[in-house]
Amino acid sequence: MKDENKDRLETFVKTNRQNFDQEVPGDHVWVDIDQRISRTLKPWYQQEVWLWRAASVVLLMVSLFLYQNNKTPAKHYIANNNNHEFDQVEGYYASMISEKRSQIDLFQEGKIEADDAYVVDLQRLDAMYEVLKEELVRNPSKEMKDALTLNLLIRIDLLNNQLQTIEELDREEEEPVGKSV
Amino acid sequence: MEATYHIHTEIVDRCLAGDRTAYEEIYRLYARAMLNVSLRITNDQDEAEDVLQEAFVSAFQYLKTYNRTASFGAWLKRIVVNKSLNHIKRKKLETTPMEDELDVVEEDEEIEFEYDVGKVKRAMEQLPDGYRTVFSLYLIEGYDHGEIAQIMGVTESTSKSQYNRSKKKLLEIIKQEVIYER
Repeated sequence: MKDENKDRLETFVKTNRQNFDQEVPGDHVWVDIDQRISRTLKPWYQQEVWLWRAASVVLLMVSLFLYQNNKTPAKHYIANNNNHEFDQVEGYYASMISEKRSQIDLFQEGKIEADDAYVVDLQRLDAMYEVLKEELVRNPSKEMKDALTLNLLIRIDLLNNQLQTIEELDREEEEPVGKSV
Repeated sequence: MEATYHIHTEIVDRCLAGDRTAYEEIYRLYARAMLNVSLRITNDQDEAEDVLQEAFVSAFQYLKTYNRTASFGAWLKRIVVNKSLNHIKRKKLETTPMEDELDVVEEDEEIEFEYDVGKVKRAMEQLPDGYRTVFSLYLIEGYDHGEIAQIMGVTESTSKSQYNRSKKKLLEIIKQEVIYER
């Protein structure tokens, strides 16, 4: 009889599962959430999807610009010392990217499992960069260098976001649920 | 891990693209169920609403880490459960280990009664936090004992024994109520 009662209890709860969700949250809960996400979520122009769109538009515009320029005799108006300047900028950002990637790798050796979609994004940016770099050799121009710099900056932004996510996940994991519940 | 199509995938995608109305749609879809998940653990409407708020804000902030191997609802529920458990742990309402919580006395009287949702819910509210949490996670939320062990940081056998004791205790409370009403 005792076991029957317990089984009856299980059957009853499973059959009436929907009726156990009777309470509703007050309207203030969404109002508070909405205010908090307004403060913490990035505005539309900082969302990664918009950065991607910006990168693609820059690539397209640079391609069009080069196409137009190639119709006329080539103008090699960029001095060699300007190229050297760009090499320095490129070197600076490349070392920053490398440092941030090492930090992420270090975190990921631990137990934290974060989404690694950023790796695919970086690979795509890498591919875009290669295309632009080849064009820079053929047609050195300020627009091309701006596009390359933007590409590097987007990568740094992606890595910063990833680092921030991992650090926040890490902090969350530092609050494990103990046995004394 | 391969992404699987789940219900509400499209709304999640819109959130990721920065569509603010999509956030509210997600909230409206899941708020009630998630509040009740939290309420069954925290046992207090105000605290459950606090947890609900924290859980949704975290979920929205970390939405890009949702890898779609589970449904969005399952992912969100896990956040709500973890936050609810952290909440009652921080309050330290009960500091005794789960194993020593209560002596469950054997029922010494056979009583005929019919279950109803109100009876079960009222009895659950009277259970100690540990019992109520295991009971709720297993029987109502549908986690298995392996998952509960992982969530609560106990062994699987502890989860099983706590569940059996919680059922026994719940029956006792219901019977007491039935006797009192007669």
